[in-house]
Amino acid sequence: MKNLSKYRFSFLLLLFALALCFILNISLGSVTIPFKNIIGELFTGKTENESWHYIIWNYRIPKAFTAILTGGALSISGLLMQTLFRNPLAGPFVLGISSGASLGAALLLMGASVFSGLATFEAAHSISLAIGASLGSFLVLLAVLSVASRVKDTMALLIIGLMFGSITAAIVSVLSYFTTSEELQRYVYWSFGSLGDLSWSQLSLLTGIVFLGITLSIASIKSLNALLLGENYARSLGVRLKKSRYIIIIATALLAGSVTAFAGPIAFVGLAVPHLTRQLFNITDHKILLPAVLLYGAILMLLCDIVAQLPGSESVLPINAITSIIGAPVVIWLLTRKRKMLF
Amino acid sequence: MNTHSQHSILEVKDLSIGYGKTVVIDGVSFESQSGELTGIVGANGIGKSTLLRTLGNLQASLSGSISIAEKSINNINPIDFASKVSVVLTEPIASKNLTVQELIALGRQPYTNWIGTLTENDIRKISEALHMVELHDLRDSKCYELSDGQLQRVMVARALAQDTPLILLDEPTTHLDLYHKVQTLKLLNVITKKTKKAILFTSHEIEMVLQLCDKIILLKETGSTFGTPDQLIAAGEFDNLFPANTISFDANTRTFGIQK
Repeated sequence: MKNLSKYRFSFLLLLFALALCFILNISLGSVTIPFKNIIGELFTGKTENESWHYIIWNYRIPKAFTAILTGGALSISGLLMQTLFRNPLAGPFVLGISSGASLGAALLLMGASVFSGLATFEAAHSISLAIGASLGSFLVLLAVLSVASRVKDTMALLIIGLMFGSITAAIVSVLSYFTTSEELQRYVYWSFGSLGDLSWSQLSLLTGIVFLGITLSIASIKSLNALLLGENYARSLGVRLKKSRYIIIIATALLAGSVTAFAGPIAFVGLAVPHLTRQLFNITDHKILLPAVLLYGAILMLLCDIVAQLPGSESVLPINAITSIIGAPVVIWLLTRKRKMLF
Repeated sequence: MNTHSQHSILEVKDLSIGYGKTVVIDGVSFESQSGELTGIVGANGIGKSTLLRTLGNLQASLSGSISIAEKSINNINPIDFASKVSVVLTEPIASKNLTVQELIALGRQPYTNWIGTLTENDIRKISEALHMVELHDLRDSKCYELSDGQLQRVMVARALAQDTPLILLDEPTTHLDLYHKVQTLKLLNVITKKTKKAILFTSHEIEMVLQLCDKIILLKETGSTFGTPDQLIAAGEFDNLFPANTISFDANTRTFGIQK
C-alpha cells in the first residue's frame, strides 16, 4: 500500500503556504500598514494606531477568512460534483446553485422596478441580498432535486441542472431588459463577487454552514471512492446510491450555496482547483484529495484576493473576474498538457 | 475435487427477467456449487447480460427466486450482499487514473470502516488477489497504462479482493485476442479450483466454455437449459443453436463449423 504519510510533507507545505498567504493577504491593501505592525497586531494585539487596528480586525482579517472559506468550500464542492458526475468539467454550480442565487439577487435588485407596485425596500443591503440569493439557490436546487428523484441516470441530472441554469439566465435577461440602468448596475456589481462585506457575525454563520458541508463531504468519502469505478460497481460494493447521491448534493448545496449567498457568484475556482490538486497529489483517494483541495482552494482564493486588491492602489478589481482570469488559462493548460482530463 | 466440501452457493428457481413489462426470458432455473465454473451462453440479445445483472442485484427480477447461501437476495442488505457477490461488468471504469492497487483496494469496501481504512487483513487480501492474477509487478501502474487484457485481470483481482463466495463476470473475454481469451478463462478455472468460489460468466466463446466450464446455462428463444457440457451435448442442445444452413455443431470434436 502507498504509505499515506508520504503525503505528510505535501500537507505541511500547503499549510505553510496557507499561513504565508494569509499573512500576506492581510498585510496588503489600499492603506499601507508596515509589516511589523501587522505581525504585532496578529500575535500580541498591541496597537500603535487605532485606525490600523480597526482596519486589520474589522476588515482585513474577516476578508481573509472569507477568502479561505470561499476557496475551500467551492473547491470541495467542485471535487464532489466531478466525482459524482464522473465528468472533469463539472463544477460546484452545475446543479443551478449559482444561477439560482443570481435569480434571487436579480429579483431583489431589479424586481422592484419591473413589478412596480410591490413594496420596495433597501435591497442593496448585504443581508437581504444574502437571503435573496440563498432563497434563489434553494428554490432552483429544490426544482432540480424534484426532477432528479424522477430520473435514474446521474448524467441526465447534469443536463437538467444546465437547463435550469438557462431558464434562470433567461429570466435575469428579461429583468435586466426592463429595469433601470441604476439597478442594473447594482446587479452587475453583485455579480462581480465580493469577499469584503462580511461582518464577524455573518462570517461565523458562513463558517458554521461550511463546516456542516465539509462534515457531510467527509462522511461521503467512502462512496465517492467507490464512484470512481462507476455507479454499478459502487452499488456492487454495497453503496446505497440514492442516499449517497443526496448527501453529496446537499453537501454541495451547503458549501457552494452559502458562499454564493455571502460572496456572490465566484467562477472557476471550483472547477480548476481539483485539477490543480491532482497535479500535485497524484492520487485518487478522496481521503487525501478532500483536505488537499480545501487547502489549495483557500490558498488560491487568498492569492486572487491579493491580486484583486491591487496593493498600494485605491481601487479593487472584481474578484469574480480575477478567479476567471487565473482559472481559465489553468483549464486550457491542463487540456493541452494532457491528452485527456483524467480524474 | 471432493464432493464433501461442495455446497450450494447460488440457487435460481423459475426466474423471469426483463425490463418493466418486457419479459426477456423466463423459466430460468439452475444452481451453482462452490468450486464450480459456470458459463452462460446464447445468441446475441437473448438476455445473457440481463440474467447476470439480475443475479448481481443490479436490476430487479420480474418473478421467481434467487437465493444466495440459502437466503433470498431480497432479504439481504446491500453491505451483506456485497460480501457475498462481486461483479466484473462490461462498462469501463469511470476513473482510469486509479492505480492497479488502488482499484483492487476498492474491492475491500464492504469490510472497511466508515472512511475506508485498510487493515492488515485487507492489505493481505489485496496482495493475494494481485498474486493470483500475476499482476504484482504492475501494482503501481495507472489503469490507463494497461492493455485490455491486463485491465480485465485487474478487474478480476478486484472481485477476488472483495472475497465473495460468488463472482459474476459479464463477457470477460470481449475485446481480447485468442491468447488472452484463453488466459482469462483458464484463470477463472484455476480460481474456482483453488479458492472454492463459484464463478458465473457470460460468453460468446461456446467452444472454450465447453472445454473449461463445469456447468453451462444455455439460453435460447425456446427457454433455458442447464447441465454439464456432456449432458447438453448428448441432449443435442447445440445442434440448433444457430441457423443450420449457416453454422453446424459437430458433437465429436465439440466445435462449430461454417456451412458452405
